[in-house]
Amino acid sequence: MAALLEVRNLAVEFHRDRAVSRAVNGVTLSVERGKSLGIVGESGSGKSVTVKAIMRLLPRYARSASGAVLLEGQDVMRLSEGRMRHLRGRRMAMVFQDPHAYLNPTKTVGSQLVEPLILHRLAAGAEAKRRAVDLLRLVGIPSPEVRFTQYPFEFSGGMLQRVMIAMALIADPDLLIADEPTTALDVTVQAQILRLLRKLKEDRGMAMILVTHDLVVAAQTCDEVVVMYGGTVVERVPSHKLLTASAHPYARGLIACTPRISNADTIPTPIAGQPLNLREPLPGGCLFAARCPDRVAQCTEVRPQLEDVAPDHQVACFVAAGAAKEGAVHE
Amino acid sequence: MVRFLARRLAYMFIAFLCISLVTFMLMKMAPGSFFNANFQVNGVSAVAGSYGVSPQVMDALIKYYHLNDPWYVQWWYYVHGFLTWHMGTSFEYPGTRTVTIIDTAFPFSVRLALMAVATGVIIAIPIGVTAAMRENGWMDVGLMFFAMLGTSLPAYLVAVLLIVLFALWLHLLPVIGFTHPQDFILPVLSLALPMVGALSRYLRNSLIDSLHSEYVTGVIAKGGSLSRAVWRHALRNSLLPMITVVGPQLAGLMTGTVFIEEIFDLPGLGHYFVGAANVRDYPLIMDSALLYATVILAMNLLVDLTYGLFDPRIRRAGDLG
Repeated sequence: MAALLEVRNLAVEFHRDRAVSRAVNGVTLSVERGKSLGIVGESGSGKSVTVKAIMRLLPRYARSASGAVLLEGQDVMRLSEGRMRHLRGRRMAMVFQDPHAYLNPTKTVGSQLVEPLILHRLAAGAEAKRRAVDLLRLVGIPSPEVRFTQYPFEFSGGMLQRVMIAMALIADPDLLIADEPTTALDVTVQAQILRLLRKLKEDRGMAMILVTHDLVVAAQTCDEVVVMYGGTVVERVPSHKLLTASAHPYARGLIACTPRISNADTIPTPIAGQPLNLREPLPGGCLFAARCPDRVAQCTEVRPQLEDVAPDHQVACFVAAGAAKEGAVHE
Repeated sequence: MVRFLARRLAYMFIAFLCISLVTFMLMKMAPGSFFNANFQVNGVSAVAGSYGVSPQVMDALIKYYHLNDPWYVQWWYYVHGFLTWHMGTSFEYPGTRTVTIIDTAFPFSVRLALMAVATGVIIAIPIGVTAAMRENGWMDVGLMFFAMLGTSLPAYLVAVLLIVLFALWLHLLPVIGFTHPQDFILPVLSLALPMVGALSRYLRNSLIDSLHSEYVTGVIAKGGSLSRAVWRHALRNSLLPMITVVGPQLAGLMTGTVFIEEIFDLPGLGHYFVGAANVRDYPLIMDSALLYATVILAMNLLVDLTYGLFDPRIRRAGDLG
């Protein structure tokens, strides 16, 4: 089946004050209809910039240097701004990290909620309101008629994130992008929101991209996960294998430093070294080489590309790919 | 809300008293007074003689204006008179109560001020919006250059330029008069254009701040255009800081604009205000200064109340208080 969204070798640079910051350096990923993809990585790994580039929501000083973002085969990078507007909110919609910041504080939640319907001429007036109220009820907001007329500051973070989700869903998009939707919320609310997102995705048959720094969340919520480091994808793995059978040293490092109840007595081990400084020229070889415990000579010379190590499982690492090949030979 | 208002009114009253006291002191400290402005010779009779009135009449006048009473009594007469709107009569225009002068000139000045500010705001909004939407583009840089020029030009210079252009060269508009609507075009423009410079720069900057905030990205993410984000979302939030500037500006214009009134021969308050200060017309000085203070104070209160109109957070907080 052809992918709904395919990102090929996407690169984004920020040019500001004569300094260049290479936020995304060749990301390739794809999502199929009805499937969900998790993007994980530490802060500054380029995951948020990648999804914003897909929606073309980056500020003007960002330059998408190269690559293609194909939505059902159509390259959105080459669309006019007017054509792009028809896609945003309608074909692909976004849920942001901090709902209080991403809603206009001086307009009612209701008027902002119906905006996608009005902008895409799907409904207006009483019909738009009816659909909005129905959707508010669906995402679990009590007394939605009253809530419709209230302002963002009258909502808790969790409730407002439900509003954001309703707003993203109201025009029935094919792709929902959730950019750290639960990072600003407390843990109990976090679980509710993730459950809601998963359920909505399944009920509506849409595709979802979930950006998170939490590997456990990604593994539980998504079908497939890509791990990002230094603005590149270092591993693409089915989510059930993420926590147990991930192959890239960086992904394994992330898992080793994630505290979990199942291994509560082991002390999380941090990854040695510092994240990549994206303001400096990139190293020639593997971007993770400087911090990698498994480094071999080849790693600092050639940038590894994604290679199959198992069905639906790809890794950009010479050592991991080599081990997998050896394993295959031995079998 | 009621408590907020009561507290604000109390502060306003205290400020009002302070202003009246300072004005009174300054006025008394200024050398000369109306009845001996041009005479160094002491004695009531000498002054009376110079006016061609008898010393008895002079005495009566001094008594009538409480000029021999202690300063706090004099001060209180002015304040009390103003507060009860039973002001005294002017020195300069004897027989004319200052309230009559204010009654005729103040509404005129208010009308002129409202027209000027409305014109200024109406011109400034499209300029500020256009510049902000093309942040750092040539349109933005160009418009802001002209806005800067406008800010640096004083109203009277603009007035003269407008007169030369529209009256002398093009013969389109009258220069003197205040009865026909077209008489007001040049004075209003003279006051509005310098304001446009400051206002449009201000609006541009605050609109750019708003456009950089995340909720604008939110609007774009829903499929909205930049102009929708501006007109339906950001502009309203950016007008808030502009109101803070417009309020006092309006108050300043309402209490008279000396240069413009003189140039276009308009019967505004500024004319009387400055005239009173020149001839030490105590009652008129006090009353016009107090009127000025009251208008400024009222305007600031109005600005704060408008905040609530624009920002639901303040409005709802007010409901609780």
